[in-house]
Amino acid sequence: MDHLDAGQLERYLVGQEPASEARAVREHLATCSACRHALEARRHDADLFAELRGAVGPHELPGGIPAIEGYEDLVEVHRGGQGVVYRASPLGTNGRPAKSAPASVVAIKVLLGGRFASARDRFRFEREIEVASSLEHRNIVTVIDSGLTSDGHLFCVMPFIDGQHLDDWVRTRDLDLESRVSLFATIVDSIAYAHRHGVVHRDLKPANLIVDSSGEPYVLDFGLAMSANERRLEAERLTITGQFLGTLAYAAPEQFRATGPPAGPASDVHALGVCFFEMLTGVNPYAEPSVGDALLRREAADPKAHDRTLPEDLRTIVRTALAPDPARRYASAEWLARDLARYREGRPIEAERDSAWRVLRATFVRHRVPFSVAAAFVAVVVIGIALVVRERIRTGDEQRRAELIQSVFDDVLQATSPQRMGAEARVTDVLRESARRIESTLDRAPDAQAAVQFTIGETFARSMQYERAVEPLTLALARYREIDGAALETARCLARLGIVHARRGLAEAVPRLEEALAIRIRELGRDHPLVAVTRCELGVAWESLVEGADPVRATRLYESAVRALENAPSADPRSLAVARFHLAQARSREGRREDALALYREAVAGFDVVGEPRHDESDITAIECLDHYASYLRELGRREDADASLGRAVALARRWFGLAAASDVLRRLARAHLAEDDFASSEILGRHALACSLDAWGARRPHDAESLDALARALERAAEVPGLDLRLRAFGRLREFEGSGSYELAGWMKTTAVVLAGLDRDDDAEALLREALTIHCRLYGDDCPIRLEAQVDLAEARHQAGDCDEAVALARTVRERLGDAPPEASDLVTRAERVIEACDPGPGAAGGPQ
Amino acid sequence: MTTTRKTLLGRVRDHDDSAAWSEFHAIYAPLLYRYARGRGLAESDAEEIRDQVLEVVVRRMPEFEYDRKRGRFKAWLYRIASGRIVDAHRRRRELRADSGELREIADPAPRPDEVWEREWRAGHLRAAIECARRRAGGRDAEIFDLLLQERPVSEVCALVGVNANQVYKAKARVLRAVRDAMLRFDA
Repeated sequence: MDHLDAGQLERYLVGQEPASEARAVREHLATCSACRHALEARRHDADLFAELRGAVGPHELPGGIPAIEGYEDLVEVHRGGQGVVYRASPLGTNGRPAKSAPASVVAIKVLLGGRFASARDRFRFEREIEVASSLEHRNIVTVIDSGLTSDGHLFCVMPFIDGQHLDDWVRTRDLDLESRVSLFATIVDSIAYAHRHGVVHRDLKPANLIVDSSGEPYVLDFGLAMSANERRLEAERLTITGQFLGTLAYAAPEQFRATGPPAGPASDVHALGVCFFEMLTGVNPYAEPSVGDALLRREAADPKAHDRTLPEDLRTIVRTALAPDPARRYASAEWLARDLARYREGRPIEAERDSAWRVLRATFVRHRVPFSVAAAFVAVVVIGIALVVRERIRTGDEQRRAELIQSVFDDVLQATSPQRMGAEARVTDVLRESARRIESTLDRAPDAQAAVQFTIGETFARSMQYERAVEPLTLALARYREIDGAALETARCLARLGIVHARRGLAEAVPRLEEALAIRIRELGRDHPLVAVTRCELGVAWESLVEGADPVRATRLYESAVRALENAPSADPRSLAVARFHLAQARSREGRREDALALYREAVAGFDVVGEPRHDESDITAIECLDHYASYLRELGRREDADASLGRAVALARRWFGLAAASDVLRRLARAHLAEDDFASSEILGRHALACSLDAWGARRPHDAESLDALARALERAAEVPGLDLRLRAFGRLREFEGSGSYELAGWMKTTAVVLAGLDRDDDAEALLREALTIHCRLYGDDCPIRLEAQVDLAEARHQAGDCDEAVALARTVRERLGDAPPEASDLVTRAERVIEACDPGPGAAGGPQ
Repeated sequence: MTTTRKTLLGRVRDHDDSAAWSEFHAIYAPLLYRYARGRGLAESDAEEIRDQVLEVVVRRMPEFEYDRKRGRFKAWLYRIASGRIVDAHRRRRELRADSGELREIADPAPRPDEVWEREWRAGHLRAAIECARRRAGGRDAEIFDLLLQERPVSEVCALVGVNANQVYKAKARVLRAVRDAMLRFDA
């Protein structure tokens, strides 16, 4: 065959070559490097052309494949939505060495969209690759090399596994049910291992599950699915039908939503559920390929409809894995693995029992901000359902219990009806009322009582209403202590109370947590992850004591927690991340910066992969962690990485954390950026902060003034924009709310005066300085440097205005009062003296202001 | 870098190259206009913003240190443009301290960075196509336009009266010219 002509190359590139041509072209390409180069050039062209079409028209198309240094003999083996996979050989000596022992044959995946991926996307990709390549599991094929191709596409290299895709493997063999469940369980175990290490696959499907000739399954492509530009690819999948339906069949509903939380461990569970369904029935659970909105509405079939003999427990497992709402699914592969193990050992599975609790929790946490009475009813009713389910399992006298609980909730519903509580009732009111009713009517069922009180306390605690959480938690604790065999519940209650106290800096936190720790060690053994978590919480308590804080002891506790969690295979990755974060802060304080950085990095990875909020303190910790990590990166000069980390923090803060708190966090970040002279980021963060304030409170609170000010400072420093004006308005807004004049308002007056002076509005500036001084005079004693500073400010302003008499009088008082100036006030003396000298005063009367 | 390959921004900075300035204007005027529109300004306001920003750029370009680090000019221009847009939004609403206006300040639609990134790339690509069209000349440009309209190759052949290979070659030539232009723009 002669060299390929332009037409052949083009047709090959778009996959439109006639079958007669395809084989010949492929064979020729395998032997002719000139044509391979030509093909590459065409690919570059196709890439650019698609982009041009996007720029002049409505569509954007992916494309593009480059040469990869260090590897040769690339042969295309697969082309999919995310990229193209080649089989290749690593260059032995000339090329760049692979990171680990080079395999003789590798698979190289080149990701589409990489070239246009933003710095943030690239950061995420590289980090995910880093995390994914840390997985060491016999059934997981990890990345051994990765990087950017010569034209900027992301690629990664894995060992090439010679085998069949899972679906083909199962289809071509006559496996009994046990072997199929066993094969699936092996896959689930490997995913559970990954989830434990904080890695989510996000694109599980038979094409990524290869079974070799010995029947050993391997999971491919870990950490790649979030690569490049996920949203874009997702959108493309939806628009380019047909080709990508194979992937769509395995994706969970939440993965199609343009907004909302990204895919997390529960999405992997969903994909596993689809695979399992197919292994059991031979068909896909979703009737037919659907696109667009239909994807969000589709419902999985009942596996029993396809196989009447399917055991009920397996049906439940499949259905739980395929639940459309991620909150109703197994939270991670770990839980799925446990239920599979229970099934295989003939023990009752947990899926059924847990679902009510999952719903309960999800309902409450979703409404941590006040919500309508109607929604509160739902919550209360759900408590009822949960209790009934729970009690049915616990007690013999099912009927009586159910009736009792039913009566309680009838009572509660009546007590919390809108007529009684008014339309403005909030969930907290409903909960309080419920708590009272429960206490009085459930007195013969201390376990139910304790559970309800605990839930109520927990709800308050998670919505950071710590004071309100104390009472129900204390009640729950008292009940649990009365119940024999409730040691772990008692410990849980103690730990929660301890944390609540710790948040308020109270010394009671320590004994509570110490008791919880002792119980958990006794009941679970020293190495249990929960024991490590308790240690970590105890560390936080020691650190946050208002009086008698002991950071050294805290650090020791963090060290031990991190060590234990690192060695506990079943530990929750989030717990480990929290512990690492606390230890990172401790290391940072000790000046062990390298250690701190490494810990932050690991913690960020651990937080990040679990894409959904936990609605507990660890969410806040995750955002703080991203923030601290960003600061460290910035200090190292890794600005892009730092920004990416911050961007992630913004997104998470808003989505996870509630608007009000997000506003605070973002404002803080905005200020940090300003201090770094990074105005653009500061501006964006300031805007986000303001938007959060407004969404949270409307324009009714001083919060927007603070956000406005943060934004204004950024704009002002960026010089091109009306920052000064915004700051005046921010001050105006604050003043509306701080009527009588606080220290804070006085501080604002001073900075605003500087702004006014900058606008040549000297009279207004001076008026504000006087007002600030009046406030300070009211708030502080004669010798207080804060007050004297206000006096110097005014003195300088008067001098500027040419009124030397008053300027000197004010400055002299300051100098006299600071006769034996403490070092921190020497600056004030200098400023005062400068005013006096500048005015070259005659013998004037010295006197106080006012 | 040789003189002939000198980038557009490099030439513009010298301030004495009127051809460069007109090319500069041809790229950035529509880019800034589309950006302003993308951030919710009406036509007349967007035109005003475009002119204001270009004026600032012309005035300050000589002092702007273009240090070849990609993206610096982009960030600089963004800062100028987005600031003016906030200003324009404010003026339009005057100083009514209602939440609606604060909201606008808080979140100029849809998102500053996304609009900017999109318009930045697309604006340069559009300008590059224009350059490439001019350089490629009649038939190549015609073929390329038809392809951009997503006409199948067979149809392009029939319309222009060439064979498929010639179509592919014409496309490759224009794309090469687009690449050259993008390099020159340093975008």
